[in-house]
Amino acid sequence: MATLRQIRRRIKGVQNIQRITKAMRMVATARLRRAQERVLSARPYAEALDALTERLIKSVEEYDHPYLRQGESGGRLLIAVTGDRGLCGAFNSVIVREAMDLSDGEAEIAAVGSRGADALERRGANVVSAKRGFFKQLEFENAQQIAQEAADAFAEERVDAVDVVFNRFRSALHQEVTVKRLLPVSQPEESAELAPPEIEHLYEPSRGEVLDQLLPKQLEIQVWQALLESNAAEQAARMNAMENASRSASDMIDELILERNRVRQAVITKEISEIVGGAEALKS
Amino acid sequence: MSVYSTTFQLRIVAPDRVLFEGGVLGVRLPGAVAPFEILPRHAPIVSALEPGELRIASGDPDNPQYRYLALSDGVVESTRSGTDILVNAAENPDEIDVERAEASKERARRRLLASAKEINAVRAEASLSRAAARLRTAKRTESGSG
Repeated sequence: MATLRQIRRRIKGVQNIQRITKAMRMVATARLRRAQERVLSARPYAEALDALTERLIKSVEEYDHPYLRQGESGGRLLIAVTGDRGLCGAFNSVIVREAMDLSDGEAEIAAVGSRGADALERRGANVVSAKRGFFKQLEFENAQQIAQEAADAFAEERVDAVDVVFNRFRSALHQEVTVKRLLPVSQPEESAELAPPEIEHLYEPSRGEVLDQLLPKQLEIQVWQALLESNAAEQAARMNAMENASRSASDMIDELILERNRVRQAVITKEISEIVGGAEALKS
Repeated sequence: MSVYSTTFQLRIVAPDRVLFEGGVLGVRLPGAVAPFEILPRHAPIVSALEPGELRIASGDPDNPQYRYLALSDGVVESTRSGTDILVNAAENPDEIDVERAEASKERARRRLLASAKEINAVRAEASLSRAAARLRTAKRTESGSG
């Protein structure tokens, strides 16, 4: 049985840990709010861009762009988005597992977030690029860089498909592993529901050239949104993990206090019985 | 007699924020073909934009207020319901770091002279025109008006 002093020391230790987990929870909560705002403020651009691109692709005839290439080699690039830091529950490991499953040891992996990069490299995945430290201060340029590398791999026909794997932010309590196809750009199916616009737009310089400019932008935006979603999901996951850790610490402290009282009582009882025993011995 | 009369809805969106939203008299844009100005009831148009300067006119039609923004490339879509400008990045004149812009202009120019590979030349050229646009817009605040 542990001595009184050992138990007291353990209580102190757990209390200190709890102090840290509570602080981390608060930080994650604050960051989550900011991250959520960023996800929301990225939407108007993405929606306007998607609408415009879709309408253009439908209306343009005989359009060809490197991003539309349908290759058959089956080579694939996975952009796996994790976080740079741990202590956020299963957030990083679910992405690593999904990426390992999808890649089958063959697909190229572009890891974003040092946690995922380290884990995937350790497991012998074919990691062709590792981006670390992006989430400390996430900027649109980061997304552009990732998109550029993916586009290059696709344009050079090194791979025939590019997917992004990330945690989608559903709610503060729920993140969802999501796989999204980025390249080739999917061509919308011909549909009759799209009524021709009442007045034909002017296009400058031409539909094709406008599209040439929109498609790379759309790729960047999709990567950007994945990064923002993942960022929000990471904060949410950490908030929950730290909440649980704080609660476990409370439970543990309660148990230890009970144990401490029991031991203390036993010591007192023992001392009394020794005194009583001593007194009895003196009497006789 | 001013070219301006009524207003229309203009929205300028960057990937991370909505930069401007409101009624304006007109907006002058660095079109990929040529600079042009959108006024109310402009024919529906979709146009690519080059790095350059954007001018928003608002207020009194006879004595309009001008506001300037430095754009990197983007695209404008104007319909009857309003005008949307999608830009990669845009800066207010007072946000522009003149020294940084000067430096990147110089860097781009040197790279343009030195570079052999075509793709680098394209990138350097784009960077050069972005820096030039920033500097032009930044000068607007120094001289006060346009």
